[in-house]
This record gives sequence, structure tokens and C-alpha cells, in this order.
Amino acid sequence: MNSELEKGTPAAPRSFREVAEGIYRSFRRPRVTVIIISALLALFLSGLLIPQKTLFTSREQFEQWNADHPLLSLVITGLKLNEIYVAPVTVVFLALFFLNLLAVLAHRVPHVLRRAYVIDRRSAVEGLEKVKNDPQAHTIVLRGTTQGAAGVAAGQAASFFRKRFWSVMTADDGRSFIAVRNRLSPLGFLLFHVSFFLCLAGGLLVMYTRFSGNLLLTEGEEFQSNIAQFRKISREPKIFHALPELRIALRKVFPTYEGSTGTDLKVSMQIQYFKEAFEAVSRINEPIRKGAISILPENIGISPLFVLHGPGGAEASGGYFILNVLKGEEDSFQFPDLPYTVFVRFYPDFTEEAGKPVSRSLDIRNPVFHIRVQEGERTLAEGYRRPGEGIRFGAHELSCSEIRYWVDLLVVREYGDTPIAVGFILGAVGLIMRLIFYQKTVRVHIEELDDATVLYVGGNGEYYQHTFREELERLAAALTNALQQTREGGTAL
Amino acid sequence: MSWIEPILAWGIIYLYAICSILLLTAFVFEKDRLLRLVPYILVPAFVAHTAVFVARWVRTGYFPANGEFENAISGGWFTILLTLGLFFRKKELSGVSLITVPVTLLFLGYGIMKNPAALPHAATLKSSWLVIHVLFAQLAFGAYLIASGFGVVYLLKESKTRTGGTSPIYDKLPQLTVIEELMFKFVIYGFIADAIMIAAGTIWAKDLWGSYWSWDPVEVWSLASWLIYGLSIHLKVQMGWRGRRLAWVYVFAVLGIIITYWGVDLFVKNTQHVFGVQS
Ligand code: HEM
Repeated sequence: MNSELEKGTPAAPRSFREVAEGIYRSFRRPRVTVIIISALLALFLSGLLIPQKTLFTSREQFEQWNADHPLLSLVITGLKLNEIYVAPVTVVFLALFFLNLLAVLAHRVPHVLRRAYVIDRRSAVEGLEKVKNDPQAHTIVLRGTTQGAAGVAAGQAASFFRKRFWSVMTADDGRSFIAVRNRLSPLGFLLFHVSFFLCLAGGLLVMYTRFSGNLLLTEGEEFQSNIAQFRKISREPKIFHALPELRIALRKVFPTYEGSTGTDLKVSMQIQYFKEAFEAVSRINEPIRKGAISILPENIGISPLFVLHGPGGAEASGGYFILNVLKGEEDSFQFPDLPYTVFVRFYPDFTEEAGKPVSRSLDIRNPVFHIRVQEGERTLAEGYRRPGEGIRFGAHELSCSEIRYWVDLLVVREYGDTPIAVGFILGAVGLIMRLIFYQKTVRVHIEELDDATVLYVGGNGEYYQHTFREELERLAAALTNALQQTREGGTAL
Repeated sequence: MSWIEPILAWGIIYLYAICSILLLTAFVFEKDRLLRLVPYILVPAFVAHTAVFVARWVRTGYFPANGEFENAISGGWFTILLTLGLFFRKKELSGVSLITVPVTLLFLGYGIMKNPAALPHAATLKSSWLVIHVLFAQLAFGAYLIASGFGVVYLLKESKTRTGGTSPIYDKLPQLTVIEELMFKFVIYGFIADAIMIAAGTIWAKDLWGSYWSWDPVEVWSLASWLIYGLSIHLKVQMGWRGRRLAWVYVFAVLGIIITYWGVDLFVKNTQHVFGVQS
């Protein structure tokens, strides 16, 4: 357009469509992608500097921090920066990320298909004679010529490349062709970038359908599909509220320790999932999976059976008490309607070191309890007792007659596994296709002169120009060799 | 075997320390002869390193990735293996060891100070996904480290070339375009291994903790490090970044990985990932 004319004419009002297209075009620019990814990076990393709600060990600690930093906490809480990974600003950038990806992908599909020679194959083999002007191209001269020698040489050269797994596309003149190694590699770009949408779909499904709760069961106890039995529900689904019918009968817990490190944990259960009943064993790292449910043991402890005998030896009260004492902590329990509190320490493998009671390991080999019975502030009795040995206070005697384990089972119900798994596989395949088996293209054009047939061999490869030039040199040498040998009657091709 | 392990481990550390000094001196004072000595020390060090790696694996019966020392032994082994591979392909590529050997030395030194003894194999660590996770983390780390080694070598040679100087050591390094391509090849290798590492990690997390992703600081850092490399690939493929600019990116990008392993403790105290593993 003439610039003077341009100056003189006021800019024509652009239609809505033009404006929208303009925005779409600038939104697709590579720089936008870089900015969005950088912003997401900055947001993710800021979550490591700004104290996150989930990283406080208790609510009090969180409130204390807020009280100590009143102004900062106002801003942080206001913008939800202490839940940065789900904060509105992050969600906005994530949305921009996926919109940008969608826009770029939609725009790129035809381009990628063309680069993979899926569409427009004809135009790919037009104008191949231009390879003559490529300064990097190799020239192979075959002395002497016969009628149709160019076509023959083209056929031989094409079969040279085909044997080496290059796809060959020949031009209509029969004297030029392109050979492409890893022709479909550009499709890897689509696979890899589309896999993000699958992971997004899986992630959203998980987010909206996840139920997670902890069940504390003692060996022999059962879960009867009753939600009230959950000790803690850490996540409730936003959709698909109804949980499948599930019953769990906890059979046995087998922990194995080396010193204080748990080296194995087997939890055997009987599961009833809808009408199907089966025996199953869950271990650390090996949850029980059924449908969308997974059940995995998170923690264990002991549930001793303590029995209180009253005056005259009659049983006054008793029961299995869930205690958190396996690793040396002190815990307590009370009998219903009785004024006593019993404090317990547990030595699974009791011994004495320098006059002090210690446990050799966490294996229950020589169990001893330290028991202290209190009524209000007053200690009524205290001492070390093995199972079966009673501790007396007044007319009562307290003893442990059996030790069982309890297990804290994390029960999770969520959907989304399939899109995530497919996303991972597609993503990995796409990356490998694109980055390891990247595309290389060789262009060959052949001319018939009076006394010779001349092959021009040029091309280009993705990412690594130097490596490609070396490869092209080797290919050209091998091709020359092969062509000459066939001329001499060999079958080198 | 266990008495010889510490001797070998300290031996490796001393040999890598000598290599590091030789490499630094060679590059700073441009002494080609010192550089030529490096393989004579690095090869025996690697043999001893392999012996410790294999001995630990045989003795404990599992892939050595339990605690800082074992992580350093196995991670360092991959890094030095790749470094030596380059060495033997082309002597001039020895330049990358300027970064890989000292960093491996630091990791080993840190590991041996922390807990060189074999730890009980906690139940939490018994998972095939974990083995894949750790193996690919180490491959990725080794490859990224080598890429940053090439980045340093590129920058050194480029500034020498730009100022028109000649030097026996830089002249022998391959052409700048070759260094740049090798750098990118290792980035690609690391990037793919890193992607597999993260995927395997999420699957393991689902089995162990019941959810694929919990925005744990270590998870965030490793995702961020991977994104940084993804971003850098975009800068090259889409925006045409190359040469010095790209080399600088790769020299610094490896910091993300180092922070993932070492630095998370500096920022937050609560992580489910305990590399020292006392769960
Ligand atoms: C908004 C998001 C994104 C957009 C729009 C986008 C777009 C693109 C485009 C247009 C290319 C060049 C394709 C070519 O010319 O061959 C590319 C390449 C690449 N991108 Fe992305 N990308 C995005 C996110 C990501 C992320 C998050 C990663 C990984 C961390 C990534 C990794 C790569 C890699 C490895 C390549 C080179 C291989 C290939 O061409 O496929 N991208 N991307």
C-alpha cells in the first residue's frame, strides 16, 4: 500500500471479526507461551516462599503466623496466596496456558500434517531442482550416460534410501525425489502437547470425584459401609457423592521391623465390594484396588484388651483400646462410667540398658507395659507389667489379656486414572518420537548431461545442522559407492 | 566386603578431588598437559566407584538409592559414566568433566558425611515405581549436568574465540556448533528422562500416599525444573535462541535440579520426600 495514501486516509473501522482475529493471532505468538509458562513457574515457586496452609502442622500454628504478620497475612489471605496452587491467579494462568495451547495446536494441525507429509504430499516434491543451488548439497557425477539414465539412477538412489528406512516420495518427472527419515516425527508434537489436556482432564476428574477418609480398624473389626465409622474424612467429592458399597473385615496385621524402621507391613482383609467378596492383602506401596477405590495402610498401632476386675474378681469393665504407643509415646484411655484414667507406655521388645527400660526393636517379642492409673490428679498405681500380669489399686485389678494391632486405612475413591495414564503414555511416545526420532529430509535431483548423469543431494535435519551435514556426507559417499558398484554389475544397493 | 567399602569410597573422593583440581587448573591456566592427565585418574576412580556401587547393590539386595550416600553413589556413577563415554568418543570432549566431576565430588562428600552406612530398607521404599523414579532422576540429573558442562565449555571457548586469542586447550575443543549440538542433545536426553521420572513419581505417590500429586515442595521443584527445561526448548525451537544465550540458560538451569535435591530444606521444613529416609 502507498504510504502517502495510508497517511491521508483515516484508518477504516475494523470489524469485530478483524479485532478478534487480531487478538487470536497475537495470542498464538511463541512469546505469549513463554510468558505464560514463566508466570506459572513463578507462581509455583512462590508457593515455596509464601507459607502455605497445607504446610502448617496445626491450625494454631497457622493462626499464630497470621497474628505475627498482620499486614502480610491480610494480603496473602486476601489473594489466597497461601493456597497458591489453587489460588485464583494460578487458575487464571492455568486457564490461559490451556487456551494458548489449544489456540496454537488448532492453528498448527495443518502445518504439522504437512510436515509429516500426511497432506499436500505433491507440493512437497515440487521444485526439487532447486537443490542444485544449495551450497551444502553434494554432487555425484556418474560418467557416461545412456538414454533414460536419470530415471534409472533415480530409481536406484530411491531404493538405496528405502533400504535404510527412509520414506521416499518421487516427483512426477521421475528424476527427483525426497527421502524422509522419521517422517511422522512431527506428529509427536501433537501427541505430547495434547497429552497435557488428558492430564488436565484426569486431574479435574480426580479433583471433583475424590473422596478420602481414614478408617481405624482393630484386627477382627469390620467396616460396614457406614460413613460414620470414618475417623477422619479429608476430602469429600464435589460430584458423584454416593460411594460404592464396601465392607472391610480386618483380619491380621503383620509388621516387620529392623530396629525402628518398618521394613514390611502386610494387612490382610476380607473385602466385599457390592456383591463380590474376596480376600486381599495390602502392603505399603501396594494398595488394594477395586473399581475406583483404593485402600492402603497408613499407620499401625496396638489395641490391647484391658480388663478391669472389681471386688471379688468380677469383671467390672474391659475392651480393646486403640493406643498410639508403638514408638515409645505415652497414651491413655478410660473405662466408660469409671473415674480412672490409665496412662500407658509400651515396650514391644523390653530390656534394660543401664538400669533404664528400653525396647530393642518395634517387634512384639517381649511386650511390657508401663501402666499408671490415675483418678484425677491422684496416682493410684504404677508399674511395669507383662500381658497377663495384673496391677492392683484398691479393690480393683487391671490387666492386659491380649494385644492386637490396629491399622489406619486410607480409603480413596476417585476417577481419572485412565486419562492420566493415557496422557502419560501419549506424552512419552510423543516426546520420544519428536526429540529422539527427529525428522531428516534429503532432496535428490538428477540431471542427464551429454556424457554424465549428475545427482545433486542436499537436505536438512531438525535441531542439529552440524550432525546432519556429517550424516549427509556419509550418505552421499555411500550412495556414490552403491551407484558405482551397480554400474559395475554388483548389487550394492 | 563392608570394610573395604569406606576405603574405596574415600579413595574415589580423593581421586575425584585430584581430577577436579587438575581440571580447574588446566582450564584456568590453559594447560593442555594437565587435561591429558585427567583420564588416568578418572578411569581408576570410576572403576572403584563401580565397585562400591555394585558391592552396595549386592550386599543390600536393592538398587542403591537409600539415603544421601547411596544416591550420590548411583547418581554420580551415571554422571561419570556419561562423562567417560564422551571422553572415549572424542578426547577433546573431556571439557565437560570440568562441571561433572566437581559436582559429583560434592554430592559424594555430602553423602559420606551424612550416612555412608547401609540403612534398613524401609517398607516405603519397596516399590518398582520408586526404582524407575530414582533411576530416571539420576539419568536426568547426569544428562543435565553434562549439558551445563557443555554450556560452560561453550562460553569459555566462545569468549576466547571472540577476543581472537588462541590457546592449546580451547583450540582443541570441538567447534562451537558441535559443542552447542552436544549440549542440546544432553538436554533432550535429560528432559525425557525427567518426564519419565515425574510420571513414575506420581504413580508411586498414588500407591504410597494415595494421591498422584500433593504439591509437596519437592514435587513443585521438580515440576518447575522440568518446566524450565521445557521453556528452554521452546526458546530454541520456537524463538531461535542459540549460542551464548542458550549456553547461559543451560549453565543455570541445572540449579533447579540441585535445589530440588538439596535446597528444599532451605525453604520449607515440611516435605514428604525425605531423601535421608527415616520414615
Ligand atoms: C501453552 C503451552 C504450550 C504451547 C502453546 C506450546 C507450543 C509449542 C510449539 C508451537 C512448539 C514447536 C513445534 C515445532 O515447531 O516443532 C513446541 C515445541 C515443544 N514444546 Fe511446547 N508448548 C506449550 C507448552 C509446553 C510445555 C509445558 C512443555 C514441557 C515442559 C513443552 C515442551 C515442548 C517441547 C519439548 C518442544 C519441542 C518438540 C516439539 O516440537 O514438539 N511445551 N511447543
